[in-house]
Amino acid sequence: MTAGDLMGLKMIVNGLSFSYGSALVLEGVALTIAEGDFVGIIGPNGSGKSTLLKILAALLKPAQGSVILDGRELRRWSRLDLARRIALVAQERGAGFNFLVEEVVAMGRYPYQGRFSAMGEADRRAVERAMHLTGCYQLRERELFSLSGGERQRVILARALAQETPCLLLDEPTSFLDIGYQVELLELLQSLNNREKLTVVMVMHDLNLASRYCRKLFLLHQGKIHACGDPAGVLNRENILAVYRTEVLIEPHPLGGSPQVIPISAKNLPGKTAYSGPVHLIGGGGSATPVMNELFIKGFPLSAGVLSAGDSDWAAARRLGLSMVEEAPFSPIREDRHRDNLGLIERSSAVVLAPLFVGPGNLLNVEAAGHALKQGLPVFVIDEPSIAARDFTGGRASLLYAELKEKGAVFVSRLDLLQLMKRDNGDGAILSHS
Amino acid sequence: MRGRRLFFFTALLFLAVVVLIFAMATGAVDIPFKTVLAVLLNRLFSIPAANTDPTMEVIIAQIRLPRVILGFFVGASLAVAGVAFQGLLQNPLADPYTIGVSSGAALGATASMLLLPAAGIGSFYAVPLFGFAGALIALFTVYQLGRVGGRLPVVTVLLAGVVISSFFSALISLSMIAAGEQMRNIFFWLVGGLGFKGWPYVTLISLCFSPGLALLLYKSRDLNLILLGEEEALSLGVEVERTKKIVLVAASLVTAGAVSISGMIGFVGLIVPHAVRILIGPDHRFLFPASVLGGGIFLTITDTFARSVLAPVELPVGIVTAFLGAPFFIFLLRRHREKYRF
Amino acid sequence: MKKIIAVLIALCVLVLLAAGCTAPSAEKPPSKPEAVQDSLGRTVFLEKPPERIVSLMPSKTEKLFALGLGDKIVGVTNMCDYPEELKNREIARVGDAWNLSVEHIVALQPDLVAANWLPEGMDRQLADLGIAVFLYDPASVAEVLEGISRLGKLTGRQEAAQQVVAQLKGELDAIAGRVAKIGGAEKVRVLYLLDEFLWTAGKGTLQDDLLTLAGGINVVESGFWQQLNKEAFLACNPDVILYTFPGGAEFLADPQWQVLPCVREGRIYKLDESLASRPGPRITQGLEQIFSFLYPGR
Repeated sequence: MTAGDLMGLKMIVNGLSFSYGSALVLEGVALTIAEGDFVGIIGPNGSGKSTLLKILAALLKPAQGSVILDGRELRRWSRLDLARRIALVAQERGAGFNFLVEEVVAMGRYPYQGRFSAMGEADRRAVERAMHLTGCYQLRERELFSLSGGERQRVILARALAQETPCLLLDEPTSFLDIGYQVELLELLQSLNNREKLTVVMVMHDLNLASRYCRKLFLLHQGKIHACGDPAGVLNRENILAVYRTEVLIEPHPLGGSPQVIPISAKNLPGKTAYSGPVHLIGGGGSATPVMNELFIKGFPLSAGVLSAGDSDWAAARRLGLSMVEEAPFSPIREDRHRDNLGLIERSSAVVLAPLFVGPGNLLNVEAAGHALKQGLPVFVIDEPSIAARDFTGGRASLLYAELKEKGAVFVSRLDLLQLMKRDNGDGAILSHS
Repeated sequence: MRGRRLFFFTALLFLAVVVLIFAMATGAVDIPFKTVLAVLLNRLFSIPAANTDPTMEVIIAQIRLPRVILGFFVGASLAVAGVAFQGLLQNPLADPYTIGVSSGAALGATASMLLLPAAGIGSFYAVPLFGFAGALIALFTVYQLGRVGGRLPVVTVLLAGVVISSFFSALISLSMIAAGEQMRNIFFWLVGGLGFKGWPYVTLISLCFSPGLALLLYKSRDLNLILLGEEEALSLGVEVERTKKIVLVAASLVTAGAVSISGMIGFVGLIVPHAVRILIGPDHRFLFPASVLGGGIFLTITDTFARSVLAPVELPVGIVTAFLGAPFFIFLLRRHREKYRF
Repeated sequence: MKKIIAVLIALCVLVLLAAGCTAPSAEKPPSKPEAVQDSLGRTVFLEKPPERIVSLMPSKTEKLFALGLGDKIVGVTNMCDYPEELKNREIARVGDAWNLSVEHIVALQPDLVAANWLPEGMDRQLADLGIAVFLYDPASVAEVLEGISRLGKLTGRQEAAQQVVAQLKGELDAIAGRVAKIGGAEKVRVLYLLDEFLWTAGKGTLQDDLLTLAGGINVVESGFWQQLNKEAFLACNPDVILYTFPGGAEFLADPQWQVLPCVREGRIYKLDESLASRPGPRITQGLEQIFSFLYPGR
């Protein structure tokens, strides 16, 4: 009997509540797990994710609500029948005795064996297969205590696989493992999920690994499901901010595109700066990205324009969720976009002109900085490399730069900019000295 | 491991036979080894013995044999109980003595001697029965006292065991003072020893030992699984809580049988399980039977030593168990300390 | 002068006793044994008079000799030291009260084992081997006499037992007569000290009965063996202290006890343990000794 032989597995959780003493841990949880799912349960510490897994594994009985497995209430299942449907890799380990790897894996056959019967042919096959799958076969004569943490976790997984259930529950299987073992374990689960339609439900601490490997995520927050669905839908800035109280960047994984969560030093976000409004960035072609990131991290609210869709400044602004004016790729800035840009500038309290390459198509961006000066806004110009090297307009851009300088724009290096902006108390005092 | 296990099992079995025969050949009355062997063969396999002295025959078959077998049973009981307690409480320092079950059984047995002083058959069986009740009370109390948030940490269980042991020992001393005429009986019983115990006591201890061991063997696989994590054991289909209760009660029954017959003999339940575990590994399906042999061999040797080293004076066997057991244990531990994990 | 009289009396008694002990042994052939109850309430019966007896108490050994069964005894304990005849005979020793060897006892092939009490399990073990066990543990002088007569019936020495009992009764009456002359106000308050840990004999013990029969008043009023603390020991303030353990004189010489008048004035006496705490046929000599210490010269 292998997982594939069994009828499709379905687990339906409805109105589930659970409390330890007077502390309500889960409240009104509802979810469905279908055969072949690869589900991650995520959430901050104390959000109830381990408790939920324990209820799914029938280790705990829900106070309210029901868990229905294959049309039957979980509590109506006998332990042994359940053990042939669901296997568990728990977090808690016994003091453990020094069993051999082979002995431990063979324990997975418990639900199929008579009390005193020896291992049958099917049992032996299942054990060997599980050891091969998890790469413990060559460890089989070793004692459990002589193994590394990663090897031990693999042995426990092998035992769960020897159980030959259509569904595997794992409670933070990658904690205490180094990144190599983490990826190895999850890839093994992924391949079992793909090849054998093994349903995997795991509690995960690491959001990026969860995002990378799970097809479905349940984000728990204070005992309730805050969001569920595919990783792209669940792992967004708002959800993470609401549940983890942390400002993050969401970046697509470079390979495969699953959303990756990049935490930011959250101290000043959303913080107060010297400026009352946002700082407007004028850039393009990646020239504004470094200063954009620095200002963002320091807590300056930002806007940007005009950026060509698809270029790296555009991508960075999007990633940070800035309000910006965009233009189609490789097309000159149209008049209406320029006006939109001026509109953003008028709403800002300072303007930074990044060291962009200036051609006829984006000369309007330099003019926009001049507009800012006319509005009486402080304008910082990063002029390194100097405009002479970046001018592809036959000198028109250089003339505009000279004009900006004359009218009071502050020319600074990128490194000095941040210090300068922090010292500026917002009334343009710095500018009057220059 | 399988080959290693088979080797040590065979070795233990062989050793058990040798030790039992050697014990049979040792005693207050000098009986030639040939006679001992002849009588034993006669009793066990009905091989006719050539004109042996009937008195010698009685001494061998009615006095020595039950005593030696009783010693074997007591040692086996304590070792098996030790294995069960160490395994279930996941505590390398647990044994019937340290967790207070022995003194519970002792208090129960003392109570039965006080309350039922008549020498009838009823009181004969009452001693282990009361002992069992006392052992369960001690166990329950230690369990309750030692539990912290649903777990049984090593330290609190041992502390609770020490507290219960001293409390029960105090109660025993108190009842001895109050006992008046019965004091002498209680004293004789408490200092232990296997003298003066004939075949009826062998029956008595096997009534506790056999069902207890059967239950433990029946649950040995479940116990293995529990050792590697209770949650996973549950998910593998083990009725964890029921298994725990059955194992604890069975171990208490076995302890009560040993204690109500031989009084308090320490050390056996602590070191024999470790020694056997070092030799054959942690699998309780093999650990229990091997401890039967190991405990039996150990107590048979110590009892033989106790009754022969200062003959005709007999030493309390508990002194000898500690005296011989400690160095042996240290030897084993030193040889295996690199590899031995509890 | 008084001492000489006491010694003379004691000598007379000894001579009489010796006569009583040895006289019946050879003359009367044994009659049929009778069933008797032992102190555990069990009925003990021998088909024919015993030929091989093992005695596990010095008092039982003395009783058996007094009944003329000395030559039937095949084993005694290390503590059995009387009569003198024991020293001249090759006789097996089977241990002492705390260390008995069942194997030795069985090897002697006894048809009767006589003792006051046996360690837990041993009587059952002997009984299971078909050896008759007679346990009788007297806690008073009357019970000592009763024990002698039961042992007599059991072994078919009824007549010898009657003689011994009659003689002992006579001696008891003689002492009772002398005690009767002592007025209530003259009665002496006594402490019977067993060891240096202040264990004492209380009510219900043979020692208490002896004190009472000798006209004394036991200061320890609670039952059985009692361990006094030092305060209680000083507070009970006996007129006389009797002790049996070696080193008693040194123990009582300790300055802390000098506050007791009986200690200061030397009314502390060592009893012969084999007489005064051995429930055998010489119990009357023990009683005599106690009386002489309580009421010297009376």
